[in-house]
Amino acid sequence: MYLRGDPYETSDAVFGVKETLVVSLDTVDAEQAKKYDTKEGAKLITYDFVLVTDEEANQLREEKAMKAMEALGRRMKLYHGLPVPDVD
Amino acid sequence: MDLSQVEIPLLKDLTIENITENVHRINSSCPDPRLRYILERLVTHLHDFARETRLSTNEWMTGINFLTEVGQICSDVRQEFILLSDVLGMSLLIDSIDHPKPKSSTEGTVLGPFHTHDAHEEPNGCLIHHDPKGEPCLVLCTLKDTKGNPIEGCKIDVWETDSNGKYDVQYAYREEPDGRAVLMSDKEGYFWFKCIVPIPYPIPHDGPVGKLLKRLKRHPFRPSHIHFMFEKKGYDHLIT
Repeated sequence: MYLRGDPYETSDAVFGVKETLVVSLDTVDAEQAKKYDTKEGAKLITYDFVLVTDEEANQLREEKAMKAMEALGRRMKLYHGLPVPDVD
Repeated sequence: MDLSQVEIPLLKDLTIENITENVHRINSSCPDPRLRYILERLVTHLHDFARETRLSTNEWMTGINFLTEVGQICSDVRQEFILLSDVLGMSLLIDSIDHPKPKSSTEGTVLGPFHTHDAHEEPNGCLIHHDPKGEPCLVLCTLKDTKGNPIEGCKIDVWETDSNGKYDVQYAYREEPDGRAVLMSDKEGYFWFKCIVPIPYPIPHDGPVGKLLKRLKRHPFRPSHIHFMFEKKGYDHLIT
């Protein structure tokens, strides 16, 4: 998760920044300070993460793999979920 | 292996033009179809790389010496090969291929070389960083599946640098993990912790990868960030 406005936001040496992972720094309000035992005015980051199931990920990975192979003009099949030449 | 049972090609008089197909032929008895395919593509691209650049022996030795140095600087707490993979865009590329995300889900990003396996399990609300010079920051998160249901009991690794832009493992006197913790999402899918506001920092650039970046006129900095890694059986591994 990355902070908005960082001097290296668009030139990460390892290419990791994605717009959906960039967050703005907020401040803790009085209610949150009490609830989470911290100081009002302290910095705050909030984020809602969404995970995909293995099943959803496998299906999408295999779909994309076969599409990419087709685009390369290769006749392939899946072997343990990964493409190999379909020689039969 | 019974050599009389393997069809061995006649490997003689190999040239710039026919070396590739002959390496493929001798590798083609590999019984694992995936390894066979990976090797075939690797050899094809390596050979084409040499042919397309008219690579000199000196340049190839420079490359081999560079990779040797990358290996030699690796230790339990330094993984220069991951760094090399990162700065060449390979880590991001492979993560994108292997962990495709539907639009409704959180995108992944590079793991980097500073995740450890010794972070303590901590309750929600814990302070993960004890650096007194860091600016305090509260992090409040929810964790859901693609249908909007909360995910309970997911293991969440979080790690970040201190106010000097260094991870705990970059200090020789490290005794205990700091700036990292393992949390668990509660039954409503919430998890939260206290840390310090992250700052930009350079990836380790005193080794061969750093030298390469310098030759390429590239800076070694990463923008401010906090790492998260989610693990729960039945869910695709997510690193942000």
